[in-house]
Amino acid sequence: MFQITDIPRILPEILLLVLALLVLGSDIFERWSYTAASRLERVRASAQLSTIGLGLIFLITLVQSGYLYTLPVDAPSNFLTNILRNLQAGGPGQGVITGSFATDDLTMIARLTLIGAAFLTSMLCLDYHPASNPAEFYALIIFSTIGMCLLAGATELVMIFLAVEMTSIPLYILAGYFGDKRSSEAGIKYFLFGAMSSAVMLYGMSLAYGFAANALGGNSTANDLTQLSKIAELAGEGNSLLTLSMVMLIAGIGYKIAVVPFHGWSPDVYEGAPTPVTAFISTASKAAGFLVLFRLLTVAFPSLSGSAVFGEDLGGWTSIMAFLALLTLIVGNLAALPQQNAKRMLAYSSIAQAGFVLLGLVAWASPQQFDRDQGTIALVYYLVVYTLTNIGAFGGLAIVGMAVGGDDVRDLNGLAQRNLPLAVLLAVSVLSLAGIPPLAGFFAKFYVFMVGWQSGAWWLVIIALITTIISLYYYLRLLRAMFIEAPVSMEPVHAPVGMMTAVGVSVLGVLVIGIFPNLVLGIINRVQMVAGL
Amino acid sequence: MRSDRVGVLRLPYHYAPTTGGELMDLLIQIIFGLISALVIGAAMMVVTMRNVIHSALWLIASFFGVAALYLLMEAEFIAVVQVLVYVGAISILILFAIMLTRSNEGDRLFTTYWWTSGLIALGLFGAVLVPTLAGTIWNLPQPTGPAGAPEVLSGVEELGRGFVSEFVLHFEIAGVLLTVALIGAIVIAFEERSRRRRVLTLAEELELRKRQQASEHSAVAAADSVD
Repeated sequence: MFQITDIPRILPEILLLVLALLVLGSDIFERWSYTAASRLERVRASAQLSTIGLGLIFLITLVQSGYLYTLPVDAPSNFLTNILRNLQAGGPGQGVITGSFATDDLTMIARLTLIGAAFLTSMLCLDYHPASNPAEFYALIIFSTIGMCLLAGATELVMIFLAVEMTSIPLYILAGYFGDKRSSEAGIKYFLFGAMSSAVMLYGMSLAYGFAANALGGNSTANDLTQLSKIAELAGEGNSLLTLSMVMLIAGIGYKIAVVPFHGWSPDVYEGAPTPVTAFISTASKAAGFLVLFRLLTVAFPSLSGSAVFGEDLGGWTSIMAFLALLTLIVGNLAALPQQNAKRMLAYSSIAQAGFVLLGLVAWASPQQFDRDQGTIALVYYLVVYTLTNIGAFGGLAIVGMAVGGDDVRDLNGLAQRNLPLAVLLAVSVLSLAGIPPLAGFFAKFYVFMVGWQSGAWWLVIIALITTIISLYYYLRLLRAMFIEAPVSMEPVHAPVGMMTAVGVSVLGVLVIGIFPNLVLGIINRVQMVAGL
Repeated sequence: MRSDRVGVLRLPYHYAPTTGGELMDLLIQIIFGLISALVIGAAMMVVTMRNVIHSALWLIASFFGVAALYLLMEAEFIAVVQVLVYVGAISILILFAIMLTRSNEGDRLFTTYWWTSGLIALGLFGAVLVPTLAGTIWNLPQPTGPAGAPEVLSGVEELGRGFVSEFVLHFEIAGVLLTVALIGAIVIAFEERSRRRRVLTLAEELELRKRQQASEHSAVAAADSVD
């Protein structure tokens, strides 16, 4: 049953919904005319409202989570502490709401990451090319964020499906928002692939539900993940139907997180979509997809986890993950090498990064609970770092693309002489993606490698190491263009304040998390308590 | 664990053995197969028809088939809703949308050998699915603990109660999802007034089409004369 006390627990989602409707509604009060100045005014108004709103919601979620400061039980009761106490009463660590939405630590950290990503994205859009319907643009970003938050906490098949659609449908529209040829192509391609993958995922869900409901005598609780795990345990490892449904679920979510061989859509979509939207799609929706994949596999199918150790009997979903990671690492990194378009290169780099994240899931090949927990922590840590880094990289590209008018690698030529701060920020992001030591990307990679090695998938870790070295080639190509190549013109690249701040914040995050990883790891350590595990 | 949760659909095998034994079971399976064939066949026609209006009409047939499937599963209310909403409202909406926006009729966006790729996909899918479904042991021992009594479907009342208690979160999210889809559709279809084309009358439309055909003919003739 849904209790009235459950409302504070879904407060971030409710606030996001209110903000989205506010952004939509406030556009009516703007001055409407078709001159460029008034159009820009409308864009600014919506962008500022959504940026400030998302920032506030981020802060409220941070306070609610209690990660920075938890109110002591014996604190004196006054107006402020009462508000704080009521807010933190909805914090992590309680049961599952109506059996379908868990507000555990995993959801809470995911919310912070995703709302933070949406905040940085809307800040990136502050000065981007004005869209024709600005309010709807920002509202769709916020609606998509609601879907992602729900996805991260969904513990039931119906909820997972609704959340996946809620995440994807706004993104389809956002990818095709600018209506030019490339943007439209990106939108329709994303939509077609997304619809197909949803169909595959839904088929897998219906198979799993049908099997479990049959075993439970037609009871509809069979769509609950914990219930499903009991059925999977009873059915044993040899049950081909559950395995097939699991493979279909992995394939469906695999499309959303763009792992090879389900990656076909992503380079075209990333290249064609407006760059801030690309930053959002490649980080937030991917992070949410990984979290739902994690929850699905570990909560519903722990009995089918199998092994990924070389030479042993391969089987279960960890070997599927290891295989996908292998393909993703090799194809993603090799395909990025010859790219001439920087956006497309970063698209392939995002595919390759997904391969590293999969290593965190392979950790479940180890029978020890400690190794599995380490895998979870490494996975979440990698996702947080990747989100920050990639927003920085795509944000920097968005600034250059806007000022220079193209996203080719040669458009970056001599950026250091045209705008040094921007070149430095972009370089830090790219180096973090490559995994260079003092930055967060290095520690994240190191952690997933360690976890993968512990779980026995040492062959995969060796390949991951080799592909990391290969990836240096194309990451350094970007750096060479920026710092060594001669600029086409000496005209300084104009960097708008809002976009620069967004890139700066994400780079600052990368530096701080990289140098003091314990700041974040202390919080992420709590993720071990996942509902239903 | 939730035991107070209501079931929306009940599978036919619950009542089949009690009401008529194996013959009834077989009959239901045959009817199920026929209706499924109708649904899938109609859906195939939707995507392969040359004329968009015909596609929309086949879509209505497919919706009807789905309604019949619901009826077979004793979900009368959902079947009626399916007919009212999908067959009644949505398909009419689709037809209107086609009529108002159609500018290039008869475009067939298929390659010549589209059916070979279709066959390959079907073959691979079947090769995975058929042995799996055939080889699965469906009867499992009941899990320990309160698994919940087999549910009795009493139709609209429990459905309504479910929407305000157990499924309230899903219900609200579905509502937001529909709003988002609506906003997205408007964003895609909206043209600013400065760029908007005037809606043509039928006579003007015919005139325009005739002129387009004439220009295409002349272009082809020009290409021929070059050769």
